[in-house]
Amino acid sequence: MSLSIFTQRILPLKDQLFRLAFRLLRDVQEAEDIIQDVMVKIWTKRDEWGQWQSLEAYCMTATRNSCLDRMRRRRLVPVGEERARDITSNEQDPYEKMMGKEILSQIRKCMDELPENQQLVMQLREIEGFSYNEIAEVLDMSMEQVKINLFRGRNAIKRSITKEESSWKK
Amino acid sequence: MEKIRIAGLLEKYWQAETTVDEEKVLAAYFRQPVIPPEWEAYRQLFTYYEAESRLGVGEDFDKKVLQRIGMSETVAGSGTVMRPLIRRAPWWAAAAVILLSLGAALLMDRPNPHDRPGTPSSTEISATTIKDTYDDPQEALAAIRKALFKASSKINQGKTITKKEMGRMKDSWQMAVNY
Repeated sequence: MSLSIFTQRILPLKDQLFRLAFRLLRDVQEAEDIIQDVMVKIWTKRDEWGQWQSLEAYCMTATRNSCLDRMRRRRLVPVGEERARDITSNEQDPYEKMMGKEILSQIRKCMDELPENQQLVMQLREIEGFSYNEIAEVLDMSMEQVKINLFRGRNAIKRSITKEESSWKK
Repeated sequence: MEKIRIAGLLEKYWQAETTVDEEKVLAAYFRQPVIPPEWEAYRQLFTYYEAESRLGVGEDFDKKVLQRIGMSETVAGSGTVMRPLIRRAPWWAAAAVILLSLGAALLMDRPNPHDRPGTPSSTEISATTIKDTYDDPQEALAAIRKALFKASSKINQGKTITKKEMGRMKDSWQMAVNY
């Protein structure tokens, strides 16, 4: 029974949990190691699963806490440009392609530099598509705080990319 | 017309007032090959989010986790739990073990029909009963050959009996599993 729940509900969260860990740690291997540890820890607590409101939210919260613990133990080095991948292949014009890459690089930089709460709210909303309620539960904050962090995060990125674009147009 | 609708959604988006569904509409819109040039930067933003949402762990992640929790051998394929027979039918497994033990014990205790009365059985022979009986090496060699020939014929009988018993056990096991 526990194994079925584990394989059908917890293991499939691996990519989502990985992305959250990667957002905070900026290191693929470290993020994957953390997720493995989280999954094993959750398995050892299988007797308590029935008491948890939401397995999914618990997994996300456990991942976030593990990452924050790990970050406290080391000085976080942003990965920045090393993460850059070419996802702008649709552009035909080399100028547009170059501009696209610059904007993309600016988005990454801006996301990485946002305050931690804004990063986490942005990650859960923009990339995972969570509702405000779900974000509030996972990050243990009020709906109002979720909305404020999202507003600030989005606008920081908007300023950043529009600034980058206008500098290219000059 | 569509541009006005998208402009309205974008306005709500920057104010953090869009719903999840409205954000999906925006993401779909910015996947189009042609959009107004003034929104090109926004396309990059939504492309970035989409690319990030495709990140994931390595292919062997499940295997590693299941190994760590000691369940790797019980799970195969995509999330299908394959429990071994011993966990599906523990009582039948226990009964089968008892049956096997009894069968083995019976086979060992069974008197050999080829043993003559008065001669010690193979289990009764011990180091204390063995003593030198031949002075002539040729005579000893002939006796050893005879003994080995006799032993080999019994080994063949043993194989036949074991094969027969195993066949019966297999039938019983199959019946138990199908029950």
